[in-house]
Amino acid sequence: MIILSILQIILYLLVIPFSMGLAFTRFFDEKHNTIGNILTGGFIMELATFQVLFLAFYRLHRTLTELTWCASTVLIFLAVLSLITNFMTIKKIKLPKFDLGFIVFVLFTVYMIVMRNLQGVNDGDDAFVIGNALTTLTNDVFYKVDYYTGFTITSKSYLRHLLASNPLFIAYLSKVTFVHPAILAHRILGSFYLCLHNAVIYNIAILLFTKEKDKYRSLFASFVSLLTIWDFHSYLTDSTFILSRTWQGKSMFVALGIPLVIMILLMLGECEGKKNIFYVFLIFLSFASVAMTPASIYLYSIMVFVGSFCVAVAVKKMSLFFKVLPTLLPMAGFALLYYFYFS
Amino acid sequence: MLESGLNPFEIIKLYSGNTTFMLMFALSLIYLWVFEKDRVKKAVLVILSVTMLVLFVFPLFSHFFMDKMDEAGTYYRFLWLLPTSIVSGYAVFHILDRFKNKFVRTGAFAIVVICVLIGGVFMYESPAFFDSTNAYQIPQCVVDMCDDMMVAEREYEAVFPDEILQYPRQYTTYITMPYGFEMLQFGHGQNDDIHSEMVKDTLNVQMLALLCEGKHVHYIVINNNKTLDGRFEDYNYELVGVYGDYSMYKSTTMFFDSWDKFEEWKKNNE
Repeated sequence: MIILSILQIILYLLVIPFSMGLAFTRFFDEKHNTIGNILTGGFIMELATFQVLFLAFYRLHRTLTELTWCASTVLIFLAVLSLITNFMTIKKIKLPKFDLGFIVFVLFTVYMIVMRNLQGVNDGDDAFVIGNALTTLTNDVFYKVDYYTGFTITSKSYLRHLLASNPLFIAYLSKVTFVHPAILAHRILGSFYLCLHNAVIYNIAILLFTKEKDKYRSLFASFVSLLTIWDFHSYLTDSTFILSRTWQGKSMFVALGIPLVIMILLMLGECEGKKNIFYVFLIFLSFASVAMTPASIYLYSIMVFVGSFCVAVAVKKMSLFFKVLPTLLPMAGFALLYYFYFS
Repeated sequence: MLESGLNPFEIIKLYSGNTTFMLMFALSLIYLWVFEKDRVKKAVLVILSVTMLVLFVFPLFSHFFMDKMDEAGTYYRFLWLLPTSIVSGYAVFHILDRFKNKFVRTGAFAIVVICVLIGGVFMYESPAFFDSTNAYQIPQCVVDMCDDMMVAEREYEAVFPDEILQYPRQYTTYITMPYGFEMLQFGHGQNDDIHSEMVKDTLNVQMLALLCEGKHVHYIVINNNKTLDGRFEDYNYELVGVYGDYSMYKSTTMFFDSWDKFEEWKKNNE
């Protein structure tokens, strides 16, 4: 059973995201075809796909088992399709330069993961995230049983969390990997998201330090890790969320969503051709962000709106801004849904 | 969640703590504003950050989100949109690149790292962290209590003190509770009679036992730091064991076995 669990974890957290992420390789510049970029892109696609399927299955009053079958089929189909159509692009994947700086950066990442596994976190939001995942997994229904008490849900207070499918994503992964949601979230997903976060930071380093400055990339990424580890200035900082409650949706948004927006904005300004893929990616990211936290509806929208406007002015090409605007349509839809139906 | 009534500047102050990193971020923004030549990097790192900061403190904007959208407690989340570490890191290496001598550059970088270590606050000193002793990263006493509660594969109802209220249903759904963590998040609900008793410094044992029996609560977990004004043993509950700082009491009148043995138990007790 343990071997099967390990294989399933590898399948759902490495193979499927990597295969799906390969779809980006043919569009990205060669220097952006890093393993981290592909894996992160693929994971965002995986989460976005799950978000759409979950909302449909919730609306249709279906069970977690049915969602699991459907989501697994769709994800594996998309992964295989992407793998077949982009198989030849694997050789375009660029490996990072293994210099001293990169080794330090890897050591920082390993340190974060070790601490994530050695230390538990006393945080009440887990009563919702893990409690909801475990309750859904056990009862096989969505939001029918109160995750706090175990009795039938009588109030509609859960609706404000409904759009954020992250706890259900944990339940889904728990079902396919046979790992208890608490272990899966606290240890496996926590470590996985820290790796993805650092991969995005490294990709931002690639964008910031070009040409002869590329020697600073690994050191920059290490320095950002150092700042993150030493940033417990309050319990509100982004770093606190990233390192303590990594598996919770808010923290995922801080660790992945926001850095990815920065990365895409830098790419939009930098790349001359094949920009359409970034607009497609922004659509996936908007769905994935809402899956992480409903707060992303306004946080993500404001950041992308202002950021793309700034980039458009910087490159003196307002069409860029007008092309980004339609990618915010899903967010507008979620906002309307939240306002009229859930709030 | 932050208390309501704070203005954006107070939130920034709370967010920044000793303000070292926020000061570093502000200086980095000023430096990059002046010296960054790349328009795209300047737009994404500097202009976007400054715009976000201006929006954050802009009265109409903050009024809309804090009052109209009722997000006063979570308004600090807008500060997450400031890429503080990325901007600070980029500015540091931008400055270092100006030093042509490798040794001077290395020395300057070492000084910056030392400043970070002195001015920063180590994350893992946070009181929120605890040493995890099991795979679930749930306090061991909660795991032990839940394991001992589940004598058969069925549901048992239990009450827990506030400080460990969030854990049992992360471990197992076989434990149900008359009130859960929502009691701490959203205030008192319909079952707050037991909770009201549980949060008192001196527990009225008779009242608590009667309320729990009335709600068919199988187990009562009490923090040992509380004073009891009686013995649970006098009110149909017996001590199962002590688990760290907590004592667990079990009903002596309720049925605990699997449901297929219920009829037999009922017959014996009639």
